[in-house]
Amino acid sequence: MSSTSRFAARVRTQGPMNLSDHLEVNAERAAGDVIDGEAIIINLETGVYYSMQGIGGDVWSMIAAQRSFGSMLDAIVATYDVNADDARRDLEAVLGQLLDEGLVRFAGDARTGVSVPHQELQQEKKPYAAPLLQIYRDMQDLLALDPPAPGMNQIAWDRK
Amino acid sequence: MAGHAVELTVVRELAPLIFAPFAHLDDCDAEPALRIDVTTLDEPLDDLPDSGVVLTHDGLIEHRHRHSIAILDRERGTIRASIHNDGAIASWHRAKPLQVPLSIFFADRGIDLVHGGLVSLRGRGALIAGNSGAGKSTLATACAAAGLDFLGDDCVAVRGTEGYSIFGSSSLVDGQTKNVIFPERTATSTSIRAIVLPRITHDAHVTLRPASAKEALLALAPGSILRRAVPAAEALGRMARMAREVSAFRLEMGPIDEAVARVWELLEA
Repeated sequence: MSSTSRFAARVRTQGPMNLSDHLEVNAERAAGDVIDGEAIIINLETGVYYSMQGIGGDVWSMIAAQRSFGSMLDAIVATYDVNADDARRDLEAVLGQLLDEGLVRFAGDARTGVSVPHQELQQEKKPYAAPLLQIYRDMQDLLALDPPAPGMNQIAWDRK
Repeated sequence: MAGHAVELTVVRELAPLIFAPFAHLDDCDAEPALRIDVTTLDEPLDDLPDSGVVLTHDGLIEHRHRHSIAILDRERGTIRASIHNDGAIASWHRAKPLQVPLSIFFADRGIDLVHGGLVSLRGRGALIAGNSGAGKSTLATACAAAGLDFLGDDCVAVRGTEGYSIFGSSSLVDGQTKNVIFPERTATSTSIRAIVLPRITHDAHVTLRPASAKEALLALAPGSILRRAVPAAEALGRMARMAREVSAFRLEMGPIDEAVARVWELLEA
């Protein structure tokens, strides 16, 4: 079992995540960006793509920055009009989905959580909308009929 | 080609096939950034999927297709291709030859070959985005027939908000067959002022309404990234920036003439 699926299983079966847990983007499998406050994520292996609504853009940005689960929660509670329990429940749910879809993975090495910037705590709180993952499978069907050339994902792009 | 001088050398018997999609590009005397050499492949290759396969070896990238082998040398800026022309080459291959190595060559230079059409009016362009079957080719070729400049129907180059034509050709579905056509009125570059997201509805009238940047990105990015040889994260970031900067519109296509008129009005505004 891969580290991603182990962690997904843990989230599902063992309940709460640890505040010190870190996730990271599964870069070999997923690409994402934030637009209009929502995250757009593409699963490069399956052809499924996603939009993460609500505060999904913030969640994706914090995953990309490898902030700890606790740091993400602190930032959400400090920024949005939501209590800690609801924020934790919603965040755990959407992170579990992202893990299940293989878009993010557990970052195994311990890191120091990025602290919440002071100005974040001073802001007037914004309306909260739970992060929700919308899944689009239409490209999956098209790719099944007309798949891209095998081997395309072996091309190295980090060369200079 | 997308602001780069390209030298294209083709054996005589393949010249009509290979030059036709590039015939609309401007001649220039600049030192080539890319040299393409096309020779004849004696026999077709068997047992390859329709899309071909991509192999990487010795710093080279090779795209092998049933009717062609194309090898890109990224360091030297060369594509050496050999093509077997037995009259059975797929229409997409005839309309857009060397698409895979060209996609990689331009991606290395921050230019994305995106899955979209592009038409232009006096240098103001409309990028037409959507999945296969959305009506990209239908709209782009109808716009060209009505007098707009044609830059592509489903594979065009984009850098920032500048759009470039690579292939001056279209492969249009007509019943069970795909026909390759070459619109007469073409352009090589344009400034992208609108992203149009068509949908064929067969309604009595056409509707055009603003779309969000997110809708534009969802229509453009998955097809461009999943079906092309591109660096996914960087390309998605570039497309997101363009989607933020350029206004997008949903075009529910009823009568095609009316749809073309709405695109024309959009570019005149």
